Amino acid sequence: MSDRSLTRRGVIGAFGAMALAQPSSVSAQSNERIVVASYGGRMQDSQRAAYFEPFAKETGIAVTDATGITLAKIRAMVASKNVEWDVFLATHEELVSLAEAGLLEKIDYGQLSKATMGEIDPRLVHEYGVGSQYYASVIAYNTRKYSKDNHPKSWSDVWNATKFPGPRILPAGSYQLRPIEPALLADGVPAEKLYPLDLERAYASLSKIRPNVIKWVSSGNAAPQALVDGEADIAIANHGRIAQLRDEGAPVDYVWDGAVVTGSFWAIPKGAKNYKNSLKFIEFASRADRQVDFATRMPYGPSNMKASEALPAKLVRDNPVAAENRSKVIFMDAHSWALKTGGKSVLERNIEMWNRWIRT
Amino acid sequence: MKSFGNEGWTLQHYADVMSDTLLWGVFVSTFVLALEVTIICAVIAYPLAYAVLRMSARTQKLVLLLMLMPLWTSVLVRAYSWIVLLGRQGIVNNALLGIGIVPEPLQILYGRFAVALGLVHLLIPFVFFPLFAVMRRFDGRLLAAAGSLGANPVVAFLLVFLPLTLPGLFSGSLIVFLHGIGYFVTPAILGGLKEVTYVMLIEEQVNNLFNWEHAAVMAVILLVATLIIVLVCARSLGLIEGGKNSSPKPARAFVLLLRAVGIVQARLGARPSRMGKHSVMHFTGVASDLMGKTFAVLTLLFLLTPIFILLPLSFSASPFLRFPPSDWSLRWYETYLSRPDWTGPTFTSLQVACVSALLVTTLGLAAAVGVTRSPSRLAQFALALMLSPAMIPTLIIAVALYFQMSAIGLAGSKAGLVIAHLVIGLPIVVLILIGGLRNADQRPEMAARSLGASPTRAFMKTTFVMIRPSIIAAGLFAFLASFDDVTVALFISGTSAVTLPVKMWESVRLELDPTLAAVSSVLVLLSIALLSMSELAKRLGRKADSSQG
Repeated sequence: MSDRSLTRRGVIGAFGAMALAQPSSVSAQSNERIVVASYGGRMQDSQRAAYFEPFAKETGIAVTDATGITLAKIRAMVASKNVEWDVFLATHEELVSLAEAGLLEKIDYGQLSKATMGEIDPRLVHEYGVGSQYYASVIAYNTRKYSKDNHPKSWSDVWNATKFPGPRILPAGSYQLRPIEPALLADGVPAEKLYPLDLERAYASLSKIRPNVIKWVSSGNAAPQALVDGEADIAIANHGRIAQLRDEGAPVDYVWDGAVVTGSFWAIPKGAKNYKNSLKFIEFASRADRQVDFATRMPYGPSNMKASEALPAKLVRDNPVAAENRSKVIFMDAHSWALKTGGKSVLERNIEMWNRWIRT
Repeated sequence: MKSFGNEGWTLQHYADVMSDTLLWGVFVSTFVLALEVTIICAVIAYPLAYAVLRMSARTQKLVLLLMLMPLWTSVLVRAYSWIVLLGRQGIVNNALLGIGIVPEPLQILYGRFAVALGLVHLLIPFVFFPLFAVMRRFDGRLLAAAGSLGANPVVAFLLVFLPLTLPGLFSGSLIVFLHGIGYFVTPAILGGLKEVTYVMLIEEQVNNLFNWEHAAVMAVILLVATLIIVLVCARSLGLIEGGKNSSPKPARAFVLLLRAVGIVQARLGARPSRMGKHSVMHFTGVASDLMGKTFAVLTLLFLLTPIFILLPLSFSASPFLRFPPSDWSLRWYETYLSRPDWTGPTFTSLQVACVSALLVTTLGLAAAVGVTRSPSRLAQFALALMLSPAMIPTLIIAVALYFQMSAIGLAGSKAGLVIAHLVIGLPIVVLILIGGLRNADQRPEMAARSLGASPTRAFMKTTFVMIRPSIIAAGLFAFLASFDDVTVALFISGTSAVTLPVKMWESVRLELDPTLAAVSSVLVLLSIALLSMSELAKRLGRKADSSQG
């Protein structure tokens, strides 16, 4: 008995020792510190290298990175007056609905460098957030199934299972990258008449492709991985992830035609503790040199137009807003998604329709 | 609660939610799915536990060790294993195509079957371990007695073994049922369009629609419905005292029925018991013994295959997941073990899980003793309260806890996380321990007390020793409940107490990081190493004891 309890104590002791060995994540160099939340994974690794570390070096303000961004967490932080984050990344629609709910601090553009802000694409300059990068939902395909010459090049191709057979993977209607714009474009709605969205028509169009869709995904990793595994031949996916996989030798590629482009924004939660330093960080991350650095690590489009022009030639093809791609893409209209009729936004009506549609 | 509105009190949100027929449809199908999964798990776990019980001590230990292995692998990673196994280009389909049984790949994934399979795989251990703990305590002499009184093996099993082990089965099944309602990652990844669960819709209300009032109403409805089911089950199955009646009616009716069957059988068959002294414990014969072993092997194969798929993936040289890997390397192990942003969270998780498991098992033991021994209705009410965290979606608990923790400054600390994990761990611990205590003989403890032992001492020396297998099982699941939790940790952990599941979750947001396969493999190895060490220590201890004695 005594032997056994000794062992038990030994085990607990061992864990205690491990606890002591754990490195402290807070740098002690400066008293000033901001917490920046992002999406984790390679995205965050790249941001750490291109933004967080150089910022700390230049200003002496340490950056602690955090993850786990959800609207629920932001609302809970603000409502409980325990705002842990100073800056976080939001999608365009998230930015709009957070601002509407009064959960964000306004960006005081007076405190930001006019020159740097003047370089940011006006589409991504918002009262409550500053664009960090462009990304897109694109038509992606498995290159073992479809060759460079023969692959789907438009949304109507994706919807045409006789011309391009094979299982599809599309995003769920309740996911951030919604299949609504593609469904309308596939149904023949011209790009310039896409907004305001005709949801009824979109779901009728989705019904046509439904038998050929093996999975409607609600996470960012699933569609690209399904193409790699050969589970699906055609997918709607995040262009950056497909570009990464293609460069690493995976049998996947994508086209810019019909891509739905949108932006990510740096935003400051209401009641954040270091407003001034947060603005300094946002300005730093908006600089052309930083954004070029980031783009070399992660194939996303800079929000800074000067950075966009300065990208090395090999990065141009993965930049949604490069001159050669810009004419082929559609810019998502986040404000149209937030538009309210009868007390409900398009976003809310879409989720209701989606939940009904899946049970038909 | 938020369900009555933000400003003032209103029933409007209740009216909205109640009148939504779509929601009710999903509500019903969620319960049906959970019920299906529970029945499948119970039907597999009972004969499995029985088969394992009859194995030699050494084989038993090995089997238990193997049963534990899947528990160390995160839900996300396991879901990917199923895709590798069952996908169109998966191992199963390739084999079937190779043999020529099917002309084209079967669509196994993304439907109800895949979801049920994934959930059963996750949840079998949750009923197996509590059940096995109860069975292990079973006194073989009772069967011998039944045999000597003329009961044939089947009757002895039905009249003696089954009734005494049912509480273990029921408490385990309740855990499975509650999890079956609450898990939403597996249905989301492996299910098709129709496999939407109620909890997924609640999550949608909270995260996408900002409609916390609706979410709260939905959570309350879920809580009330689950609570009614659980209390009715717990009472009728005899897990808790049902008011004045110490032996609940349905359970008593069941036993009576069995007795009647036994008597009829004895009359009709009039076959003298063939059971000799040796076959008492093995009262079902050699053929079924073999069947039991085969069954155990098959179940283990089912439990372990998805875990073993991860092993080759973890040694892949490819920067993305691809099965089978074309080149081999240790790069993912290197990433995992050399980066502080991976090792730090691992230690944090181990610490938090150890401390919270220790605390919650102690708390849960006291609570379970109270609930099983008190005849008052208050005890039932207390039980309902303790179990309720398992019936509310974890996301709602996370939000609620965050407000509490923020108010007292514990959000973002390890202490806060430990407390939060007490809340999630308590239902499982209480359920397992109630199952263990239900049929534990209280007389030794009373005897000890009548001989002058203090209540604590009497308990520790008698009942505690008797139900030790259940306590160990409870502690284990409390540890895993903490070690596996993403949802609550995402809210509570903040920047200073990032746990491993949070780190894993964030690393798969945009890409499936092969590091995850390495993490899983390391954890499985670590669990084997820890258990072997404790086994070794035990053996050394025994040697020392015997040499001294």
